[in-house]
Amino acid sequence: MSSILGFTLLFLSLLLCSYSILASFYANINGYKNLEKSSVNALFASCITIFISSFLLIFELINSNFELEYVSKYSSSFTPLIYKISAFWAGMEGSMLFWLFILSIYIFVLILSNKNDDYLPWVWPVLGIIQLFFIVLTTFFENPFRPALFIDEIGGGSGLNPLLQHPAMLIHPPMLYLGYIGFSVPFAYAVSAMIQKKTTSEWLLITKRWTLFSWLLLSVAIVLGGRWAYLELGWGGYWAWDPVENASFMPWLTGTAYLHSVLIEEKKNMLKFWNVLLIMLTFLLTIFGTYLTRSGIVSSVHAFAATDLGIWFFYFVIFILSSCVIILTIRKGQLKPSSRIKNIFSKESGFLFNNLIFISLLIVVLWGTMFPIINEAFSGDKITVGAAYFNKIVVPIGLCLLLLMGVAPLLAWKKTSIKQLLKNLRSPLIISLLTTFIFGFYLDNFISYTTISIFIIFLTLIIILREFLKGVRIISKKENLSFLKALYSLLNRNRPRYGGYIVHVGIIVMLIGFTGHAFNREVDLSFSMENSTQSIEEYQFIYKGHWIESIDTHPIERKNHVALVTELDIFEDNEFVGTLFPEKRIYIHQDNQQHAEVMLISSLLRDIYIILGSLDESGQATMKIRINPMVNFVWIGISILFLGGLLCLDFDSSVLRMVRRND
Amino acid sequence: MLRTKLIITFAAVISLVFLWSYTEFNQNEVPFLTVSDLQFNHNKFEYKKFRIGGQVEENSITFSKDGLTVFFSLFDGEGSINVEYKSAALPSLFEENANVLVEGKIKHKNQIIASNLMTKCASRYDEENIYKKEL
Repeated sequence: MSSILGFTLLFLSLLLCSYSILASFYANINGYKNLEKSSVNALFASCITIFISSFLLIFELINSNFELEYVSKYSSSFTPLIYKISAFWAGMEGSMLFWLFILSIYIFVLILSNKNDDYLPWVWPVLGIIQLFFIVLTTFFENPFRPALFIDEIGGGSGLNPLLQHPAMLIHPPMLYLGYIGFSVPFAYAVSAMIQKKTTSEWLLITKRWTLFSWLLLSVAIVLGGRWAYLELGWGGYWAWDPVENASFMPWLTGTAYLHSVLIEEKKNMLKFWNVLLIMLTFLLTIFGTYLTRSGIVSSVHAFAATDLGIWFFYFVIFILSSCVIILTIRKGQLKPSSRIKNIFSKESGFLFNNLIFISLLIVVLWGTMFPIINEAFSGDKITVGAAYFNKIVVPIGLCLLLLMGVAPLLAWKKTSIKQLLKNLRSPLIISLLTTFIFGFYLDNFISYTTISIFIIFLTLIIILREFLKGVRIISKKENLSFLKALYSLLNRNRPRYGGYIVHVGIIVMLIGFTGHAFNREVDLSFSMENSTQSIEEYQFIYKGHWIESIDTHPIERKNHVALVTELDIFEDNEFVGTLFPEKRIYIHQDNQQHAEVMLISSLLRDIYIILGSLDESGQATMKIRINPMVNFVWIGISILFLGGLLCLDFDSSVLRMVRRND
Repeated sequence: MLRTKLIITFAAVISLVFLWSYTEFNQNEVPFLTVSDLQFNHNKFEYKKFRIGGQVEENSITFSKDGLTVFFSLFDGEGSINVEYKSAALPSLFEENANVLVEGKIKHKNQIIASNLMTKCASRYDEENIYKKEL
């Protein structure tokens, strides 16, 4: 019943969306205003039917309707409610419908915002084509409303993979999708601008909030994914250069470049070609990323089972790529800048190098991700490349990028006098070099990635701090305000600029976290019996005992699993730090799948990270213990970045109107 | 003038990045091998890291006394090879007949020292599982 309903709804959206696209094309070419209105209405209706399909799927998931194959695969009677809902995006079919759902939300919002700009006539069909692709996928190939072949009578359902039963499952995929898919809107505007030859920077300004919003969510989603892996997967890291991780990182690279590059076009009407190129690349990479994740051509911790879906995504990617190349080639002449870069020591030049570095990073990551696949396609040999490849190249290039980020505030528009530059650099440089020297002395190694990172961290923070102090001092004097009031006023006056500085501070704080990674320690310990002690340098661990917990002893907490629990006392430098209970869970309703829970003692400067390996009948326990220095700076950094981003998002739209008038 | 210089610099940097990626990739490449590759060409793969996939043979899993090292036999459809893996924590799905991916180096002709052990996530509808049942 619901199967038929679901299929009907999707088919209906297929008809509405197709009509919308065709009507748009016809209306735009012939200038029929009423037909254009009709096409927008059809697109709106298509979004509504997609919303209804999505709510239907959620409804069936909540009600454990195992007549639907998708529900029985990814949910069960035992699955907690919130995870029943998150099963919407847990599996292939649902995640495609979810893509459609998020895209439809964005289109819906855009329609309701009742904008009246010149780009919209071509924005609608572009968004429509993207929507159509996913409708076709979900209707004919990966339909979440497929009826189940046999219904699991007892208990019902395979249940959600225990690894996915974590609060992050509720946030990471939706946030990632919101970030990814959000870039469709500036992309559609760019294509519209190109088609209509309307290449003033107005389209950039209109879509600025969309870009910033998507970028911010994508950034947080990526790091959140890392945090989830850190807390759940048990290998103690947060980034493995896994192909699916890279699939989200690549659009982030070009998206960040785009975010910065548009600032130049706004102020100086330069880098226009770059901007169109970058947003096209970003959108292309989001589709390509979805293709990588869903097609099964890469093996990964995220991998869904291989499907035939891959080939359709491939065709779509080729379609978008060719269209973009054609558009760019034909309209190249429209993208000439008002002026050229005059001096290498200028903000303009800095942004240009920024683009260069991001593109370089993209090449490195793309190569490492795709070469194994291309190689296998041609030679049949399977190869893979580990984190070592990525780290060897990304680290030095990344440090160059961050150095540029650090000195960028000192660059002036058009031309920076060398004298002025050196004068401004003098104190930050001296302080940073001195601090780096001290660290180098303490670490017994003066020149390493660690010391270079430390240098960049201090240089950037001092320069940004100085920018804030300078601004506060001026306002404080001029308007006779206290320090705090002046600071508030400063932030309020130029939100994008100071929000941007805060975002950069967030990045630098994350760099502190990354730098600490080099000092990770990992040891496997074996405790032969109770009260045995093991130590790792300054840490001692006392194994206090073990027991079993199940639904009989803990009816609520242990509802769907049995737990083997151990108790461990931890001492650091002979001081008691805490007690952890490393446990291993056996999910009795899911083929006795085992999962060791990660146990942490966190402080600002380090995490003590423990996984229970095995526990045998004699009481012998093995544990994997990691000491991760500075890792919490990564999570603190992304939070700071998020706050800075919020400040940027809240920029004064009267500025927007003013700039638009001047264009 | 400056524009030309910039274009040349950019082209040079991009070319260098490609070159760097290419060489670094080749140096860090980890090939997928089969048991026969290892047994007949073990000299070629000495000291080199590789990956090999297969099934954990029945009754082949044993542990060292302290429980930190696991020994098992890997069967890739054609041949078997012994694997030694030192780690307190084994992947959740590791058991007899599990599909595993081993990353490591060769010790002797018939022994792999694994630096990494991964199990494939099996779902009821996974094609790989069907293969497993046939074996």
